[in-house]
Amino acid sequence: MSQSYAIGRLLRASTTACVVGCRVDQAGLPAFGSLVRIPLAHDYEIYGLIYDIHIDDDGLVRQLVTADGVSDEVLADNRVNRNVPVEFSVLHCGYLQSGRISHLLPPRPPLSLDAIYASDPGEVVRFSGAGRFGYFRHILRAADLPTGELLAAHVQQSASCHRSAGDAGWQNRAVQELITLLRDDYPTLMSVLGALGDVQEI
Amino acid sequence: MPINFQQAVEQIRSMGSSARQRKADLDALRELARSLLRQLTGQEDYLLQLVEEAQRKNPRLRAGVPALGRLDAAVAPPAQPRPCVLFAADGSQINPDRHAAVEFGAINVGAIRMRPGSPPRETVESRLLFYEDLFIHNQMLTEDIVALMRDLAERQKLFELAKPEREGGADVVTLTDGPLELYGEEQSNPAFKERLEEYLEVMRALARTGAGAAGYVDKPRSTYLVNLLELELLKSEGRLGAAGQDHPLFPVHDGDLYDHLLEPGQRTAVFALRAASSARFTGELALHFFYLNVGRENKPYLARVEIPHWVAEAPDLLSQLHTALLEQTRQMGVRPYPYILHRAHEVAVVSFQEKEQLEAMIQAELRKQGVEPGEGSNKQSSKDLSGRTRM
Repeated sequence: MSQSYAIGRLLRASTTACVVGCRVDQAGLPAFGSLVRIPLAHDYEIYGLIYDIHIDDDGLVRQLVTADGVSDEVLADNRVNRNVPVEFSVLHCGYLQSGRISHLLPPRPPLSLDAIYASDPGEVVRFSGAGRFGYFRHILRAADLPTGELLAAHVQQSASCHRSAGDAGWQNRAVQELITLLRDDYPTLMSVLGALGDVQEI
Repeated sequence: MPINFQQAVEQIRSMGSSARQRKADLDALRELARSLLRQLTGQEDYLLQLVEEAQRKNPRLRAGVPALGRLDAAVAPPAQPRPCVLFAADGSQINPDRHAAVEFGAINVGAIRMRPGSPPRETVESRLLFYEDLFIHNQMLTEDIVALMRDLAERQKLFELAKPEREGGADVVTLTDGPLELYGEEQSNPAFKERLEEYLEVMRALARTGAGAAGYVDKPRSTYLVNLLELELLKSEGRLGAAGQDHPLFPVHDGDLYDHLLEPGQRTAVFALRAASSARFTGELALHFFYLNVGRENKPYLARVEIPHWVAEAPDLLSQLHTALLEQTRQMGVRPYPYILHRAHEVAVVSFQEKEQLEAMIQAELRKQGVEPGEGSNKQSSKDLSGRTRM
């Protein structure tokens, strides 16, 4: 198990997704589309993709935005001391059990306050390179997700990790799989390909 | 239905019908008060004599007299005072309740430290009151006494925090919400007197450190200076003996005198409070105050700031306090109030859910020890029933 940094702790979860809270000053760490993992037991950890980042307000924050200038100390106070967490929504995409990666939904969801870690490049390669992109169906099935944007962010991150690991063909295989999965859903296919096209242009 | 709205509507209409006339009357009284202010400016020595004469006739008179500066002075914020460490403390309490299943009380004090260039630090200290803590001289603590214990705890916390900073050479200003003077229905109660003496001792200890101290009164309705101006009216009518009892300028308050005189950021002169109730605050603790306009252009908003004598006579501390309060209130945007005081309150406040949680913890501990906790009163049980529903 990798000893990467914890980005937050679990607030609530279901079989398909969970919500993670972290302090505002940690918000620079995870990014939309990042692969994260939630170690639950010695040989069991859940993988997921960050699909939404939500920053809540409260009465004081609403009032502070009306000030002409907010001092650095007040900014730090609100980010470090005050209990206003950033919430990350994580879509469960698979799990690791007994050393084997599965792209099925995890058998048990994580529990309150379980720690969430950002996956390192090796873990990204291991997870996204296992099997035949079975976890794409979780992304495509989920309603109310920015599917195209999420896939584009994930493909961009993963392709970079695979290229660094010597597999330049991963991105092409991933796009071919998406075309196959979406062959009967033209609007979604176009949306996904449009987002992926933006990634490639960049 | 908790309110008889039919009756309420009639009373509200009746109130509304007299509102215009009342406003016109108030405006006339405000103008009279302002003209008295203009007339008496420059006669500060005469005003002091007038207050002393009136207090001989009525020792309960409360009035302010100019201590530093003219009656109509408007002091601009200092150019660039030395930066200082700012502390604020606020407290909340759980009053013992004889109707509750377990009798306990709590005093919770939250404090914030702010220093330019470093993230603020917060601390919270909770003290639970059980058994004999709940009684003084065989009497259960009253709400006034618990409030006094809270005020004392706030002040002690500020002293504990300020002392090491001062020993380290930092300039320090400490803030609390509300007046420095302690009020209470029970000033003759021996328990009140004991706590007041402790409070004064902590204030003296704070003075010895050289740290500043101030109480911030938001939306003040005090009439210390209006009371002063009224003395001139009463004297002209030969009725100075009625000072403090007859109020010819009522309901004008001090804010009405200064809201048009002070530009945003300006403060009044420092005034000394002359009142029998503050007689225990003597020497370096003698109570003073000034008004500060923390509002914006064309939207004045006055706060009263109470300071002890040792701050009033220290120009550097006064400047640091003036600047710190302006910086703090500006942080809160359109509703100016010191940010640090709001944060101290936020840290200190005990919610109803937390109180219930404490009750449950105490009950669980008693049961663990084989002691069955008591039951809440039947009256409380009835109050806790869910409210009636309406068709």
